[in-house]
Amino acid sequence: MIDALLFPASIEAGLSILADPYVLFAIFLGTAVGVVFGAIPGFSATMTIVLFTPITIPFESTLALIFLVSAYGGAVYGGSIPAILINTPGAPGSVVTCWDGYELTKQGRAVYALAVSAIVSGLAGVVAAAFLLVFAPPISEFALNFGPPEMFLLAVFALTIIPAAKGASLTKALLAGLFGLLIGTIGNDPQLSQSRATFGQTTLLEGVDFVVVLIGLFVLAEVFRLAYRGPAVTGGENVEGGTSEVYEAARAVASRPVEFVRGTLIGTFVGSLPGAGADVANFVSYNEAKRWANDELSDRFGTGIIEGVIAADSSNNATQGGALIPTLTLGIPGSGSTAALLGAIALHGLNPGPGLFDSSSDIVYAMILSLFIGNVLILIYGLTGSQYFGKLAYIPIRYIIPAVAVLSIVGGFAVRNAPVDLYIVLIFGLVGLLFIKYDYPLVSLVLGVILGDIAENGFVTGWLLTGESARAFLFNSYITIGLLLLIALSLLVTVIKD
Amino acid sequence: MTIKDTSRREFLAAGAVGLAGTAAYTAQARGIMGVFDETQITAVVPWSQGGGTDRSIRVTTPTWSELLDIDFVVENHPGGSTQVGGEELYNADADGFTLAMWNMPQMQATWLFQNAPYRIDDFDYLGTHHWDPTMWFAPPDSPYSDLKEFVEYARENDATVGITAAIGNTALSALLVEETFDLDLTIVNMGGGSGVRQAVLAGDIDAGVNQPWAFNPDHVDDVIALGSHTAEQQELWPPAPSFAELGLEEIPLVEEGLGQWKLVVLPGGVREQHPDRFEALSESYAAVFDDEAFRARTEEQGGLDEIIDYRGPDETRQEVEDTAAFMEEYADVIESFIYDQ
Repeated sequence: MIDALLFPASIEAGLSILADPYVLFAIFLGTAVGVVFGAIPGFSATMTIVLFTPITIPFESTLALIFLVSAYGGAVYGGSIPAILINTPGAPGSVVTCWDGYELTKQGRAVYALAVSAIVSGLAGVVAAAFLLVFAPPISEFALNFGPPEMFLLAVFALTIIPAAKGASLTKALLAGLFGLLIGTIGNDPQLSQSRATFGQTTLLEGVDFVVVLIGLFVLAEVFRLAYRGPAVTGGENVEGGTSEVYEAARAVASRPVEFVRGTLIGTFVGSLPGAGADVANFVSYNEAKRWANDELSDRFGTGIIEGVIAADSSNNATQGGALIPTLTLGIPGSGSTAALLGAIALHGLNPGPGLFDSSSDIVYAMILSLFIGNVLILIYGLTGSQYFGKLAYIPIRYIIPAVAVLSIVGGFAVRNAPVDLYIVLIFGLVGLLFIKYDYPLVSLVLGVILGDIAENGFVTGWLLTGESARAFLFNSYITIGLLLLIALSLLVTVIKD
Repeated sequence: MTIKDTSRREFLAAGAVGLAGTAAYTAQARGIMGVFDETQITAVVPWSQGGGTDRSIRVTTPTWSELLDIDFVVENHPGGSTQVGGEELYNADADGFTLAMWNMPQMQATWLFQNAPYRIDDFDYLGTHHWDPTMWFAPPDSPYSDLKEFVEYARENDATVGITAAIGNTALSALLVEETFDLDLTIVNMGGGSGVRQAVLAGDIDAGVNQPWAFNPDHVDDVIALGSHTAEQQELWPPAPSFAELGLEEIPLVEEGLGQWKLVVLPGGVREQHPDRFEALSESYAAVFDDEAFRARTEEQGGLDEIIDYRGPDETRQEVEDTAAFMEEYADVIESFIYDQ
């Protein structure tokens, strides 16, 4: 019976699909395309999927969907490469990777950080894929229990990590977070579709796209800073030997199994929740890693310790497997990337939702099984390429500044082809510079923007659905009680530490 | 400043490298978006990828592209309850190389209840695509099995009703039911069809208003279909009675049938300035609906073939006017909902 549960007959059909050389080529190509595009600052996994979805139209649906799933995994990993090398998250899910990854690069250990990132990303992806394969039905059932009050509390829980961000002062972190929440209110309100703070700009009816905000804050601000301050990378040509750094990285991961497993489990779980993806998972994972560390280690988070990279990158790649659970079983996307993937699934003639496993089980299992191969490829691409990626960090800034500046502007525009986003990138570039100068944590602002929508939707909808009762946010379910306890614990620890 | 030791030539060279690299990236994005390439037609969708409007155009363009021998590129411009995509079409050149798959009454709602700068006459209309009736759904363990029983339930209990958008057919249906029977419903915008579906399946709301195709007929056994806002029984969701069959004709718009049209719209002026292109587009679009491959694709899309309803340019224009008229007629109902809350 257990055999039948774990290995239903359709797995065999899925495996036979994977044996097709064209399908294998799609996995190889998709993963490579994902890594390359994910590594371009501003190119998130979502954008990669959206851009390549129309290109897959002429191809057979299985081939196309496996290519896109592979590109998705590759792009999530790829986002960590510029995060480590130039303090520029390639995607929102790699914001946290910057904190310790870039510090390591500044210490001349970029190859070491990249190798650790590749190892934990690949392995976490494989573990999460196993979760997806075995536990999809029960986990998706659990995720379905998250109603609006639970989503609101989940967002609040994630927001409580703001004060812990990069050792900033509690006041500055909270002010930055509130500013982010304010930015998040721009656009049509979620209930009555009435515009707020759009200044007559139609594009802003949809709100400020947080990828555009991220590009301004993390890319353009960094360009300004680099131009003002000079090279951030120390160590110059004295790069540690590639092979020894990769070996050192493998040892570093092997000696920290608890950190890896914790990050992977958090990533898988958060990814499976509707609306929360890699962007939320790696914040939560990093915060938990910091919380569980002893005082001495906890204080060193953000200074370039490998525990920070493990926490961030094990969680963000694990979200792929988790996010696909509600997407494939219920038709509910767990993140922006899976929403884009859901569109691709529908485009290729499949009906996302509970019936998908019945009607197209062979394709679904082939997609899930392709994640195992794709994540092993991430490991291989990352390890073999990390030495070369590492050298990118030492390109003189006179080349980096103009190239990255142009890339950030084009990337900001490409998000939705909106001219107003050019101004937003510029404004947030300057805001980022001010934040850096006056020591306000950038990440608090970003977290406010990302979580604002989730929190507002959860609160307003929860409030209306439960007869405008505050009790729903306290005792709606055992999940709300659990989340409230987590919030209380998070605040208590923060206050004590502060 | 570290940069001062960099020669101007080196700095410009680096800039050129950056521009070249990003130009390639832009070219790719542009190639897909098709903004400047007049060898292809851009189809604007004012909703996100994967939604009903997006799926409708994507099942259509492969055949349409073959018939016209020109590539189609689908661009998604979501936001502002379709106003963002609407303005994209409104501002596009009236040369026949840009069109949109839109839906109504959402289209009319953007100028009636929002600040959209365009009106009916600012567009040309190519044809309708399908009509998805408004339907009410309830969680499977609900103590009522049709809308009549739900009304009785709502008289005695606080009832929550989920709708797909604040301004549109689902909102209007909920508001008309509430007003007709003098109920005090809590009407909640679930932010789209999937939000309503999820809330009904999870039992978070007492009833949800959506369209059967948008809800996904695969769920036919998972929920209770309380009834469709029509006089006749619709075909896509067989167990659901119509409001008229339930004896609920007093609800406005039952006789006319309240639902959601998908239609293809052009920037205003194409028909007059480029009659040849308009004719080619119009004839090929009509021919799409006779194509077997198109029919097969719609059948795979959750029974979309059941509700396909093509009407030509003039008839479509008439539908647009009729829909605008009834939306205006019930404007006070919608406005009081928006402003009272």
